Amino acid sequence: VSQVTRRRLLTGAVGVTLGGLAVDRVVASGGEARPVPVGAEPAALPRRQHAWEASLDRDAAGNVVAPRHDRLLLLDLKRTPTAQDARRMEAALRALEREWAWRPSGLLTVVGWGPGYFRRWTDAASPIPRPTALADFEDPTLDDYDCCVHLAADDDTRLAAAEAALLRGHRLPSGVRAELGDVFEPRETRTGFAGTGLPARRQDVEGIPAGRPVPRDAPLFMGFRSGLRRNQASEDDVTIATGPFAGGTTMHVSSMRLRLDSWYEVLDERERVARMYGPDVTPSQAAHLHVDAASRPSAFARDAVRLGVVGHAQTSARARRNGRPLILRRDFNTTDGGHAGLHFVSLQRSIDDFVRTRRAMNAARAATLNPAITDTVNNGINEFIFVVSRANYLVPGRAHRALPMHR
Amino acid sequence: VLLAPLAGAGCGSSSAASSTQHDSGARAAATSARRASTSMSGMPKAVPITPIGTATWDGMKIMARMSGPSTFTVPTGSRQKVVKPSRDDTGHLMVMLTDAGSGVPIPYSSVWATVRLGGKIIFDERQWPMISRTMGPHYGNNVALPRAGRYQLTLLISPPQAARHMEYQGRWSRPHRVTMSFHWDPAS
Repeated sequence: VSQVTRRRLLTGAVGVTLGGLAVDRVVASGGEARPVPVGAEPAALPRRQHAWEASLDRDAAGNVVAPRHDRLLLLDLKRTPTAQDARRMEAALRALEREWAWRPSGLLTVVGWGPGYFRRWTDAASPIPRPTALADFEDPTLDDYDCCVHLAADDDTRLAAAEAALLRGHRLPSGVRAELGDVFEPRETRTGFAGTGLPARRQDVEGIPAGRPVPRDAPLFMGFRSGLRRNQASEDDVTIATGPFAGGTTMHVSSMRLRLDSWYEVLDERERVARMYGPDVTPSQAAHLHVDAASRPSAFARDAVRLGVVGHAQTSARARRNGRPLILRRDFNTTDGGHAGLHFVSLQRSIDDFVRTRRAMNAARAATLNPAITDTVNNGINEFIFVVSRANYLVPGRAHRALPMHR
Repeated sequence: VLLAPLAGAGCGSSSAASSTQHDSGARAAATSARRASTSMSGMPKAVPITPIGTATWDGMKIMARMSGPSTFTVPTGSRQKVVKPSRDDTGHLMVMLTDAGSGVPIPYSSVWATVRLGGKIIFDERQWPMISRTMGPHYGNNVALPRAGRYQLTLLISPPQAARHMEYQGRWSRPHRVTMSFHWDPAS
């Protein structure tokens, strides 16, 4: 029976019943005691784990406003997981969802699974590739965690409570437990923030020069807005359309150190705008970008030759499909380890879409057009970010989020 | 203390042999280095050059050295911008990439330098591709070392992005990381 059930999981046939009937059958065939109750699921939760946007506020221009705080819980399995473990994990996630509503004033989550999880704990080939270095000027640690849980909310104390409940067995404010069980070994927690005023209040860290240069109202350390709606893929765009993980997506998670000494001390505002957007964009125009990071990607070669500098938005915007970006960024700044940094979380239909976008951002060809440009000189923001680690995860639909396809 | 004069051509390479791989044990002399400047005629004055360490990578020699804080220009697109040392800068870190056999400089690479003291990151920046009359092509930047101590320097060297004669075909195709340690004492 369990084989049949697993095959049905692979084809996606069981769909939303994973938390219920299908797992019950596996448990019954395995001879374990009573199935762990998974608990009730709050009504109207989206079937896609990554469907956050309907719950997010929007600004006057219609851009979604990201949750102000984030945590990434990076976990390994301690032992071969069972169907009961899948039910325990689903029960813990549902407990969080009953505790806090699915919105930034409550709690948003995404659970992803690394290629090593599929290799070690399932009979299926990994649906996502292992991470690799993606530029000649980076040598990142290639993470091999089984699982990544992304928590996001406007209130960081709520994230701390959720983490303590999941990983350390603490009770939620209502008194219930939401423990992931003894099957996971927590390896690392990454924290961060994104939103007006948050970076400026946290700028006394390595990587930010003296003099408190981060603007008081900036949402990110580099002083510019991110996530303008036409510069982001939509949740529909990044959703896997067919196959066993239809309704899911892929997630790339990289960690970067930000080095903003020369960003703030050598460059002036116009030069920063040129590198963030493109050399044709003025600071005045940049201040009035409301729905797209206008950057003239078609002028890339001309700007490289004539002006000797190309912009980050400009080079990245060359990676689009039917005029739309390939990735949905959910990145946030951090001061983990006492360093200014960026945890770059991005969703896309396939990891290839991320790789394509990152290679466009590298803009290696610019160096062949003008020797004043190298991969890390006058080339967008490449010289201000040092990639420390990279990881890929598969994000199943909500019904399959707990230990998908485990043996 | 190993100090090399920086007046005259070729001085940069002459002292490399005196450094030991990955650990020179050399002491930078910040006080004398601060006297480094450019003369009225435009010729660099003699300044102390301190070996930091040497490594090799498939026929490429990687040498790290420290001189006094320097004023230099950087291309910011369509113009050259003057970068002056900050008040805290204690030296100018230079990384020379050369052919280990011929000593000829290797340009068109990128070098990211990270300096740690007791595990804490002190400096963490891409080095500027740089040229000078006496040093030729190298990769440099000013650094601020806060106090005497044993520092670790990690260099991430990128594959040179250039057309290559056949003797270099297939070499240096991936980024390469080397770590050196050195002692620095501002009072020495």
